Amino acid sequence: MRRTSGYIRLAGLLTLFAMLLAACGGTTTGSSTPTPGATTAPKAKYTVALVTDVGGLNDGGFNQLAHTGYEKARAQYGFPDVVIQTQTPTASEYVKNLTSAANQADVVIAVGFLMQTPLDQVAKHFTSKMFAIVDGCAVPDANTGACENLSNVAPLFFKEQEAGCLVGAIAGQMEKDGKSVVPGLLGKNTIGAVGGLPIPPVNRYIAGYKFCATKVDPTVKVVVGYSSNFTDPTICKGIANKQITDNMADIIFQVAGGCGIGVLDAAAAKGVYSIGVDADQSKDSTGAVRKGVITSALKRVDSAVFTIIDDAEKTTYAAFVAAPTKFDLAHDGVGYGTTSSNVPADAVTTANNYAGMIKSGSLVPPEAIP
Amino acid sequence: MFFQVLFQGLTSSNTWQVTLEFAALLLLPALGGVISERSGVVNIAMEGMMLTGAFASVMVTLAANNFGLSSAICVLFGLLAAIVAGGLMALLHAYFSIQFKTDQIVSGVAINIIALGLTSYLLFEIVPVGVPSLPDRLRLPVPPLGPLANIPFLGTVLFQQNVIFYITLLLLFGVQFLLFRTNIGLRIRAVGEHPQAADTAGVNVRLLRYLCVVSSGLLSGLGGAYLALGVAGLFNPNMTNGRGFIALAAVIFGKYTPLGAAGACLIFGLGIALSYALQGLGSTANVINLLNTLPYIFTLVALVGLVGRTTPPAADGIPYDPASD
Repeated sequence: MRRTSGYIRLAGLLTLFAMLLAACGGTTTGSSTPTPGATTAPKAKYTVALVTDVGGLNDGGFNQLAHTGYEKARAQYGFPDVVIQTQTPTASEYVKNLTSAANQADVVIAVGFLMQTPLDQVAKHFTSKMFAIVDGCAVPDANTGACENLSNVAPLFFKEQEAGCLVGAIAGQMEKDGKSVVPGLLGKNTIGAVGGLPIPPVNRYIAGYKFCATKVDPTVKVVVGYSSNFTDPTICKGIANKQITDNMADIIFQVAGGCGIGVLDAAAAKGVYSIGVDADQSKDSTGAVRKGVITSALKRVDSAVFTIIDDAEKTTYAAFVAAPTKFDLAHDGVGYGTTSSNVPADAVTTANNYAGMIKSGSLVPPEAIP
Repeated sequence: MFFQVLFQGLTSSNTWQVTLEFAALLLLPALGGVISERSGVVNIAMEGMMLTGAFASVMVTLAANNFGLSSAICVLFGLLAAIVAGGLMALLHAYFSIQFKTDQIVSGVAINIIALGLTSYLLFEIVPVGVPSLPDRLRLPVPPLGPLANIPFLGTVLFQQNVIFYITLLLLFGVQFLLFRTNIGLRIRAVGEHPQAADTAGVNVRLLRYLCVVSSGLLSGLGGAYLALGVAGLFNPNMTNGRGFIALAAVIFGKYTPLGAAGACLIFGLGIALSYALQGLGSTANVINLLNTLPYIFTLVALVGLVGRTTPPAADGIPYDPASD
């Protein structure tokens, strides 16, 4: 130690510090200046920043969809690219990322339920900025979880239970049709769901799924597991394998983001069926069709993010906050994705009938798991 | 209810298959940790090395596939890339902690953070949309073991594992032999216990420490390939999910020996496998969050009860300076 010269140690420490800052603060991508002389895009009235949750921009689901909506709005309004990616799901990092976003832009979109309490704190500090949060609202006290109505926070809620209901109806109909129509079934009339954390948006999906599957086929049994995790695919794969081998579940709904890709994988390996979540997960990143994925429950995070940016640019943001729309089936905020060739025609018919009933209000899937 | 579910879990072949798989995934970085710590360099960076390995394995396999190489060659390239990537991260740790005599904990933390940031950043640069996942032909295979795999129960548990599982077993006994039955093993341990004495006896302390730290990276990188290219078949940011840290705990509980670490990994593996089985207990409640921590609590209690006090090598974590005393 004694022989190490002081400035080398200092340099090392500074480098480390810089790296810590860079890594903890999330990674900011993109240039901070708009292309000069871009004539096609009109001048944006407000600049917009996106703060993503853990999982990354290419999680094939939630964050990626938010980014798609952000990019669509950016193409239309031409504001500079400010995307901050959260690396670790801690309150302090959320606060730091949201603060950094609010310092750089007029409108800040927080992606994810876990940012509710940090957002409340940051929004109260930056009262002149406009905030929006996907899957949540401003929550001053995490223990109660109650929403606080702030004039500068737009809550973007979805009716996931409606999307869950439609894929549940497909699964229920397939179980009802049985092995003679759907050869991959195991014959125990059991379907499964693997959630990440038992948080409201996840549970709303599962609630609708279970409610409508049992409505189509009252004899169907639904097993539910949670991975406590949204990033490690092996955990979700393990839970799905358990549901397949021990409970004989043959259609499994993944509600666990990147972790849940392990569910799709487990079902494919065992020759049974799975259902994707948030985005259309019928194909993988190479464009190849994923074996066994019968459909996906869609949550149009992209359209919600675009809508709120659009509102902000058109100065109708205040009107949205005064009476927030819930993104539901009727507003094309949720739905179901591509159905595979394994899905019989009557299952699609059932799902479409249920969609009609939900839109007309004669069927209301519950928010809590029945 | 609880005991019924527990019994079902313990008698299911799936539970034991998962136990061994999870244990082997932990054992690779743990073996690396044992080697590094035995030579006197504290290594908490296995997590980052493993993550880098996982990333490199998937990216290189996909890239090779895009070049139109045959599947087996792609996977082989991916595997080698993982090992090299892990080794490079370890070289960074060795450079900081041996050359600059930086605090080894600080250097380790830095490596973990760099690995997380770098892989997340590069992932988005390389694959802007979608989780990079691999079709079956581009994964490390489960070797066909013929009639062995068809033995009831044992066949599933022992003979339907990924090819890296069997390599891990060989490495376990190899490292145990190397450390405790060979000349070089004696030197490694001497360097970790009393580097001045070893230096006086003509052992190149720095070189040996470099080699040991880099080996820990090679092994962790291989572990990353096992995880991403073998078990999961995809890469996700932070997919290692703390395995490197659990491996570190296994090193300590295993009293800094390969076989001891393997025992600790087995107990951790069983805990995880049982947590899958216990999912059936609380179907909707928040209780599942608590149930998922049960394996860790159970493991800590079991290990503390079984192992008691462990003593690290005497010079562990102390940079070697020939000029001091």
